[in-house]
Amino acid sequence: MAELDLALCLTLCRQAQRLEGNAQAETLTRLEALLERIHDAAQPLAQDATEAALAQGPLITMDPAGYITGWNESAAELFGYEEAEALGQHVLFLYAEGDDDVQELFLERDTTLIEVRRRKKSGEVFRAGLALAAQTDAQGHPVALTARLTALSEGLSAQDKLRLHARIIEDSDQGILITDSAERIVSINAAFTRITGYSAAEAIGKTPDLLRSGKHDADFRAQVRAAMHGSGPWLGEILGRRKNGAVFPQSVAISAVRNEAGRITHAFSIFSDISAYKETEARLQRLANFDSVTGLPNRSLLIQLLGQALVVAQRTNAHGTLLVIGLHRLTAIYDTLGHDVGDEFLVAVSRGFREVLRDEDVLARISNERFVAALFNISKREHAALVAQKLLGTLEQAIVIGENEIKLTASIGISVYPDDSSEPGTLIRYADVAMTRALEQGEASHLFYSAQMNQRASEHFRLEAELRRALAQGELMLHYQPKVSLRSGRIVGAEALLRWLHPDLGMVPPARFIPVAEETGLILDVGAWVLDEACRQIKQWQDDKLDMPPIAVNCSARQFDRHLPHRLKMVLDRHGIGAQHLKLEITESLVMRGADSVIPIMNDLVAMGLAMALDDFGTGYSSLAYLKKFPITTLKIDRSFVEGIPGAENDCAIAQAIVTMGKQLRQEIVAEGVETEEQMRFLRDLGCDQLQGFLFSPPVTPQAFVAMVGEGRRLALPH
Amino acid sequence: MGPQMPASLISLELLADKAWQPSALLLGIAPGASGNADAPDALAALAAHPEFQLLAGRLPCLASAAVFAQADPAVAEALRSAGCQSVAPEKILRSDRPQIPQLPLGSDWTAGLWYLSVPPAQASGSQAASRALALQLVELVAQDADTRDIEELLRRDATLSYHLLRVVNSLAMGGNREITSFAQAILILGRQQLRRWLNLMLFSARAGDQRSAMLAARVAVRARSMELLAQAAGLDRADQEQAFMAGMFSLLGVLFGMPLMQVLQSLQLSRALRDAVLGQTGPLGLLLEAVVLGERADHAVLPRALAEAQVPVPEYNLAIVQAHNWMLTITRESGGNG
Repeated sequence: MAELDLALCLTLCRQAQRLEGNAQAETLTRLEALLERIHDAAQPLAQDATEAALAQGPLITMDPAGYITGWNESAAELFGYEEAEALGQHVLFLYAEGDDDVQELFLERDTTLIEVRRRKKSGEVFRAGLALAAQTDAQGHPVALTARLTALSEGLSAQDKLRLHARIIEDSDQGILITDSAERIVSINAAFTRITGYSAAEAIGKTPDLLRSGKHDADFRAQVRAAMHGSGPWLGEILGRRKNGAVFPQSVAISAVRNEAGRITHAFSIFSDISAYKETEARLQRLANFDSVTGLPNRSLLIQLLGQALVVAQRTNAHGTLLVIGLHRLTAIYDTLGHDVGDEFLVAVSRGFREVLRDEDVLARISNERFVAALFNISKREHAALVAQKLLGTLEQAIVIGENEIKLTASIGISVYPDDSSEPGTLIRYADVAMTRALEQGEASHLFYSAQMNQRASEHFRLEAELRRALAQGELMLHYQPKVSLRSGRIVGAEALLRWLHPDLGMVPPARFIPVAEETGLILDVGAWVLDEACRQIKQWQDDKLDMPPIAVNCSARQFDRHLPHRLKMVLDRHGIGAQHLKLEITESLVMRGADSVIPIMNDLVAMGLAMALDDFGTGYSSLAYLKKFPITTLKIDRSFVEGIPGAENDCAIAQAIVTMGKQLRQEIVAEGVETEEQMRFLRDLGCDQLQGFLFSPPVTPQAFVAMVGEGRRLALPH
Repeated sequence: MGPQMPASLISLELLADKAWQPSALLLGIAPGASGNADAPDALAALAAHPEFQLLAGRLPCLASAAVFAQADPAVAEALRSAGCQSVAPEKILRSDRPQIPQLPLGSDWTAGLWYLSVPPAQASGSQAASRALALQLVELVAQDADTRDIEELLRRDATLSYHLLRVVNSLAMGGNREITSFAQAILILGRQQLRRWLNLMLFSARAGDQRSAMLAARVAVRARSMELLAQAAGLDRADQEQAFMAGMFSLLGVLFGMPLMQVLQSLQLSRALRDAVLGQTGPLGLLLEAVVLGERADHAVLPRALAEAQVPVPEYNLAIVQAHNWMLTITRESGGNG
């Protein structure tokens, strides 16, 4: 032990000499702590004992690649793994996860001393000193590695630790209950009794059902029980019932406890009564009338103010207007520049708006990216248009926040009272509808609300209802558009495309119903259906012994959350197909949402074995340098560029740039929407790998696609 | 269309110098459909191709006087100015025997397959990784580099690639999934474990033996040729990746001095890859067969194999020239195989 510690001290000294600033200070602090420990432990007797212990201490031998070849008794004792369990495993299986604070020190010498954290079979993580040495043969080649380990003391004796833990449990503010493997309560603390009303005598021996409120469904209860059985810690809110019958919300953490052998012996649950907090939260919500970022009135205050103004307006026959200002791509700013910059930017924007309004006008922020300007007294509609232009004008110059120059655009929708309505909620909604229409007309424009707009909105509603029905009644189907190789002409894949066969309208074009689905959130259900159907079809083909190429499925931005990998895994498992049969196509706008939020999800998907393609490439703003960060393997050149090939010089240049740069990143390049022989020749000469488009085939039914693959249909390639 | 590679098969053999480092290429050209009559055109096309010019400019490209004699004087001059030179037969020692060749006085280069038959200095299944590369990787990971950059570096070393796939399989992190790409393996392992694993690899890393440089070059050329041929055959990106791995892993047996079957046991590879590497069957196996025939300059059988794999001859020629260029790039960037 002392020897190990001294070597560690030396290492820390040398490291400190190389470092500067904070890193140096940190290393010195660690050195000091270590020296103090050595000082405390410097008793001659103890030292002899440790040296003896080290001689027979845990010893692990490995081959040069780190696979365990030897495992002594002490190692078995320390880690809880028998020799047979450990031999042949890679030593990394003993490493504790999620802890980067402990530095592994490396020396260019025969022996390396590392301070590490390791995991026992029981799951317990401990600090250890590790002396790693390489054995070499006569030529100096490493033939084996040996690791000697000692558990470093955590500064507390086992007895002290027990006493301390008992004390902490008893005095805790939070209720604690411990159950045995039969789910019976074996221990509770004082706070448990205070919160629930049950004494120890009443609780011990019962199951936690004692506190059951009956407000949760079976699924939820199963999740909680799974945590008690070792599925991993569970954190959440549960409604419990006190002894007096009152239901109360509690914030709960549940986890299982394992013994040395890794078996679950107990589970514990730590909870606090959050009813007081919940009430405060609700009151705060009612009280909060102001947007916390800009300090402007929020939606609820705006509605109150509008209500008052409308009453006055009725009496005085005054006219007023409501301008809803929608900022574009605000989320992208937050995602790329962070919250502090985003918030500061919003404040600057609101200040700009305020400056072009009169004192009596109200400026409010009603949602993340929407502001409202309420002009309570205007004589002409044109004045509202003028104000709209002034508001948009404040965004023409980039706003400087720190080192960032930020520029965004907005659209404005205008509703007028009492002409359009005299009801606050309706006025906001109408202005909102007009804003959405203005957005469609292009950036930085404004529109007045008109009745036709509402008609369109109600058509949206109808379509939404019908789409729900279509999902339920199986009116949706997938068609497959083949992708062919520009080298061999063979079919190498297909994109699954959604089709809706409406009983009265016939085929509804996706362009009509996908935006509705996106707007209403129905896209989540539709997306889930598409994934499931594609997997079902792939499995069907496999069962029919057909050798079909991988199928690509479009994935909308709304679907792309951190649960997507899990959902996908469930679908793949349910149908029993491998990930290599499925590809995901995502849009460039999704990538633009920001690397931090999107990359971890993509990484999980790639680790599962899924390949990802970037759809509509070239339409967004992402540079290839930015793209390099994403684990994407295929780029699809957007059809809008393909259309202009080979006539339009600009489109050709863009296509060429995409192919050249894509090749550097070893991307597969697919051209979409290829319709003519000339386009094909041009793209092939550029070095494009595949094409998809009417030149080879439109999207076809699954049967037609099977036939096409079966007969080995090929694209005729020029020589 | 850009410049075309010749329609007659070419062969490139890597030659070692007296320190057993790759130091020159021996260019061969197969008789075309109409005998040697095609050779002048083929040489002209080759001399004019930028990819070949790049290669010959980086590594002396030797050809027998007979080859030069077939070229028009202008073409011969173009070949020379690209970096080709005529070589006398006695300048090259040919050895396929399982021993480290020692160049006799008067010879400058060693040809032959000696480095495939010499057993590794240390006969062991757990070959240590190249120190230079492991160090570079440790640095990349410490800088929190993009997965793509780590993957690019890893692709350069068969031993590290093998060990990465093996450790992912050993830790059962893949949930018994087949590993089909290096990126997948890196992402499954996770950054923290990757860093620790590399530290460990670095610890036992060592300098290579005398055959290492030639062997590493051959692995690189074979792997990259496979990838490029898969692309030329119209296979998709996933298959191209598998083709690269097939090329790389097909030489693991030689690298480790063990039966290949035994080496591959500890990896969870796809059926297609395993079939290709062990039995040269399936679409990837076809490509591997072609690459191996090409390495042996077996120009009698190679055309049939290429036809079966649906790779036109000019595409094949381009692939092997590009693969050699890639090999030079990565070995020079890695600072040799130290």
